[in-house]
Amino acid sequence: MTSRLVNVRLDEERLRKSQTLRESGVTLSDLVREAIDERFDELAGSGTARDLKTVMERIFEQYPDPPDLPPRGYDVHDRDEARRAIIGKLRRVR
Amino acid sequence: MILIDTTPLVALCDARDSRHRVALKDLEALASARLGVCEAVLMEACFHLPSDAQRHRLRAALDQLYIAALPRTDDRGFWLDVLDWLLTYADHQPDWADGCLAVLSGRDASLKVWTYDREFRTTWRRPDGTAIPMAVSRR
Repeated sequence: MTSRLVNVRLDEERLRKSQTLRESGVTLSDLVREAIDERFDELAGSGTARDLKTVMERIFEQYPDPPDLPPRGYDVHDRDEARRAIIGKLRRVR
Repeated sequence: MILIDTTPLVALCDARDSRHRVALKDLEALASARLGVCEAVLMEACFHLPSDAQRHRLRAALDQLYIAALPRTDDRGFWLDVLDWLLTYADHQPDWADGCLAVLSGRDASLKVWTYDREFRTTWRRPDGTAIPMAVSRR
């Protein structure tokens, strides 16, 4: 995974806090990554049902099945059938 | 956080799937939640969604529904926990993806699993023996 360096400016008080955290064993870069993930989770979980419906409709419009797509031929929701299908495909690949 | 299992993910991305409409309804019902998926589930989904169009839709769904990758960090201990769980339930022949969902659920009490597999309701538990919370009611 590639990563990029991001610089963050801190005032004196936050500098002191960060120093204390570092001295207590906290890795600041991990702290920033976790904070970004948490805030993003909050943002991403704020969609509405209508938003999601629109997203899925748009995806199906953008990527429709070709008319000649063969049927799957087994039931994904039947655990045994799904497992046999995966094993069968692996055998064919080998 | 809602952990998506293979069957709802496949159903979402395939309009010909017998549970496509159910999956769309469930997705709408879960609109306020953050969704997550593990690599094992994605691998299974790719087996069941082999065409270009299906995989484009899978990719677009992962991207546009902001589905997070779990676990968030490389963790050898996670593999060992999953193997332990698989051995515990060996009589029921669970798959690796089942174990990943159960162990991830055990690691975060707030996680719920979105699945259509009845074993998660009837048989399988978290590593500590507690029930695996379900994101949607039985279908």
